[in-house]
Amino acid sequence: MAEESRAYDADVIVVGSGVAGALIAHRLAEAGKSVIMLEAGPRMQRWQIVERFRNQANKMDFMGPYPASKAAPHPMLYGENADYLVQKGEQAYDAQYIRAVGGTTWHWAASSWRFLPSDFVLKSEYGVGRDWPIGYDDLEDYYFRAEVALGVWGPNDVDLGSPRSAEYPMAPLPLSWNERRVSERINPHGFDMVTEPVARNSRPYDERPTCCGNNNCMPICPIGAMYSGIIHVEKAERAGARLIDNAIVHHLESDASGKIREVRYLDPEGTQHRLSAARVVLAANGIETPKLMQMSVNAHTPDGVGNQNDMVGRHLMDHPGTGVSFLADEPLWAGRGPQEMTSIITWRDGDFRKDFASKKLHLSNIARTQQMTTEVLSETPLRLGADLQAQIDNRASRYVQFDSFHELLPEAANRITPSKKHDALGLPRPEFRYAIDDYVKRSAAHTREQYARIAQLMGGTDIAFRDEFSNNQHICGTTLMGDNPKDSVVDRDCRVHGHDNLFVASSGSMPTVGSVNCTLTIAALSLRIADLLEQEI
Amino acid sequence: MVPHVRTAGTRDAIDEKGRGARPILRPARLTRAVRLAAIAGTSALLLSACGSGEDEHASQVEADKAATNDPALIEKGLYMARASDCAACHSTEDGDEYAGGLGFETPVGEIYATNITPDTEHGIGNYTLEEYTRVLREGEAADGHNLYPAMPFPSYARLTDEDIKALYAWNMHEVTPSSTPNRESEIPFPLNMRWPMALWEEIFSPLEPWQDHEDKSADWNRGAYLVQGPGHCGSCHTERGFAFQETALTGDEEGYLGGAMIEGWRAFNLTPDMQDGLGSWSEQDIQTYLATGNLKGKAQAGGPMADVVEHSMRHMSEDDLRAIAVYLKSIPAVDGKGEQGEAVNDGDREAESEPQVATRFNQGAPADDVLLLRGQPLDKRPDDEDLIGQLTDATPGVRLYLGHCAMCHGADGAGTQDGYYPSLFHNSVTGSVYPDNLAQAILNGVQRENNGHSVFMPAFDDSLTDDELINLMDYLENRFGEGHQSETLASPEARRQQLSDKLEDWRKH
Repeated sequence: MAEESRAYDADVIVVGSGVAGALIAHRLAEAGKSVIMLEAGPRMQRWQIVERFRNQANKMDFMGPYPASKAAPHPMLYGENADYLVQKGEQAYDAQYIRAVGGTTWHWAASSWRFLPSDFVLKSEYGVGRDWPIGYDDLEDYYFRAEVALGVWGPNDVDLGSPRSAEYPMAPLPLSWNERRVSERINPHGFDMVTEPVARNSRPYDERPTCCGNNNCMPICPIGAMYSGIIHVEKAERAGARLIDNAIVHHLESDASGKIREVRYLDPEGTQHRLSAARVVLAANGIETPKLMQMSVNAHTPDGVGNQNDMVGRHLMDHPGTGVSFLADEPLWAGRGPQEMTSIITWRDGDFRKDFASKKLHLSNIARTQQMTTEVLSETPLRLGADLQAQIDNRASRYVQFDSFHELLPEAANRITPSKKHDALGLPRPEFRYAIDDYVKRSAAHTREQYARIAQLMGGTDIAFRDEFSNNQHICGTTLMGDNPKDSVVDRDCRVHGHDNLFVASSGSMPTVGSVNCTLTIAALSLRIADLLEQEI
Repeated sequence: MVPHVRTAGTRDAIDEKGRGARPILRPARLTRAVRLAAIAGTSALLLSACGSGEDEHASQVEADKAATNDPALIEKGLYMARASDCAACHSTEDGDEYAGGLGFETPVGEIYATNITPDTEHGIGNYTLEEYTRVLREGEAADGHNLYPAMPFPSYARLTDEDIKALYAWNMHEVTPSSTPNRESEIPFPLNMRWPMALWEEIFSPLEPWQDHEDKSADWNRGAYLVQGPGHCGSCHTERGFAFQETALTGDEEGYLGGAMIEGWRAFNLTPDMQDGLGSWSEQDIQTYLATGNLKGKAQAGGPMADVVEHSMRHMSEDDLRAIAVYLKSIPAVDGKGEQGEAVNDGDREAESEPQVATRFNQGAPADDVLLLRGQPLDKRPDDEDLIGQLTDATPGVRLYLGHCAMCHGADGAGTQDGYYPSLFHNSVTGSVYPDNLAQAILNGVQRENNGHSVFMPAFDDSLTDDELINLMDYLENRFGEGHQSETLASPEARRQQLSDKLEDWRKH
């Protein structure tokens, strides 16, 4: 093996430097392996992101602080990259993700849920979707290690349905008044609103400070109390991993045996570079990863790498979300502490999953002062002085918003492909064909009833339902895991079928999307891949 | 000199226990000991144990242990051990308590604190009370070898017989024996010879066990004892001389507790000097600071002092802290003269016409720069991807402040009302002519366990370039410290140069 590795530029090349790639790079570098991370985007510094956010007008534009790089664009709310994603389906797949060192967890709310054991056996339990080739027990230890690595707080006194072998690394911060009052008022009426596990410090942890409640987890935690992929990028680099930024991987060159012989990337000037490694890990999220695999066409892989059965990019999933907002009959003052600390988990599992999607509902704790100020100022007659102040206070203090995740089933027709439309370097942009099925729509109708009940219990007025489905950036299924190469892309070890030295570390490998945020599962799968690679190399 | 990092490197994710920050603890006195070894050192002369008296010795040890096996005495001994901060040097985060092992790289090799648990093979379990007394007061171990004055025996010489007996009781009966072997110092021959330390002790360690001064109050006497003796405050806060000796060991000698540099930090002037020392502090202020590490609107403990508060001072009784305050208020004021000349702040010029004296605790005012900058794009051309991440060297300190610091300390620098995030104006660190502690706090952060809650500021050493650090310090000093151009510094450029010259040293610590 030693002889073999001398022939390579590194033991491992990791494509992508988000939480998945960074965890693997860190583990392997610590184990003494030589690791190269290739990141399509530029390096960004936290303080600069913070200052961009502070100086931008629309505080709800979570992409604003992350200007897209010309060479490796990502979707923006405004400007020329607003339509970076090419939409061809009946439903737009409006993903937001960040191509920069550290990846998309620069802005997330840090929810770090485990899947339920039943999420892994959806088909055999409820006759819908698919089963995973691995079960909850295979991941439990990795879930815990992921929680330790990311620094997760969670309620040790509440059963969240995912059996634990050890307590959460940290206890949660106390709930905000908003979250406390709402849970006090609705929980006696059949709702299970609980403190959710999040990767955020409630005490100094891993050399990072305690959350001080800036309440802008999205788009940026200004002090690093919230975990983000950059934490393990920096750890990996300190452990000896080499990161090349602005390195846009555009081709994986495989040989007749299926081995990936070369990873080819372009620099921003368009010059091509080639690197080789004993193992290659694709960790470039559930969109750019399958796009790259499909782009990697040669004589041995006429349909792209791992795509011999036309599975790459299919089964695209997300958590289609609906919402409700209203003014409660008491001041709650959302905005104290983190942006989100609670979820309603009543409908994460049950026999109903035969008929409609499982889901999680969550209460927003985002300060609404700006939003309410804009609203009040847009009304006629214009309010001024004390009247204006009183109106803003009144609404911002009583504003309640719930959102939801519905479990979309894996459908082959929902897919991402390389578009004929190109970016500045001439590389294909991601193109989507996507639709939301009745399984979700039936569930959303039920969710709407629950929203109405909650509003009623809170004495709500000015109730506004948001029925249109929104994207929640949980990009799953596009390189999904399965034992049968005919209907999956990676095996139970996340190794690409037909390509022995190629792995995918991504939510794309998840065969079902469950009802919770997918990052902790990505992290657990990544640590599992790292374990395997440590043994293999 | 680079102290060893006390936590083991995180080997993999599961090892990340999340204990929080890098260790900041620097038992500073160990570190310069080797300099002394270099000064001294010619030939070795180790006393061998006296074989014929072995049985007698063993029975004396047993007798001394039996005579001190008294819960009240042990309890008192624990208190004195905290007052003496034994743990600071003799415990490491990953090792057994009091099993030593804290190591220090020095230019001539490494030295390690020893195992002081009552283990009979590797610790001090075979010490008689008399031998225990001798090692504390004279730095002479039971086997006759002399300790480097990293061990503050010149101060412990003040310890009373009664307190040493209590320490012995605690040490022998309460501390868990550990078989952690002592690590040999890696100082090579001939620098490793110990006998010259005996001469050193003769010359530089003149103090006798404490005796009360009848003309002074009980508080004063208690305070003087704690400060000069177990507390060994002078080990850090008094200037050292050519042979690493403290130039003053009591308030009767010039310069006592006048402040000194230690491990890249400034151990501040503790005398009642109005400008440089604690002249503007009340006795209650001193008590509050020592008990919590935080005197809102004046000073917060970081670095080595954070450890002193955490491991030692916060465990002291209110009476003892008051006694310490009474004594500190009584010692002669040292007119702070540091390497930068007179310790005079810009504010002093105003002070001439105002009744209030400018001190390092009352400089600066809230900042309002955010009003001008907010809404101004960070990037020169925010649409130009080529500029992303390429603005740093020229970035003004105010931008760095708003991006790195303001979310905890406030855009105006006022901190939080509860004082958890301290105000940056009216703050000893920004108000001092010594830039060292400001730099250290920024680069290494602050960590302090504080009576049930953790005080923590992350380290910024990896996220600031040299230019950025200087730009940021420049802003902090001028905005919140009113500028630190002492009389010897003619221009801001000179200050920048001065900061720049110290950067390498700061980065090392």
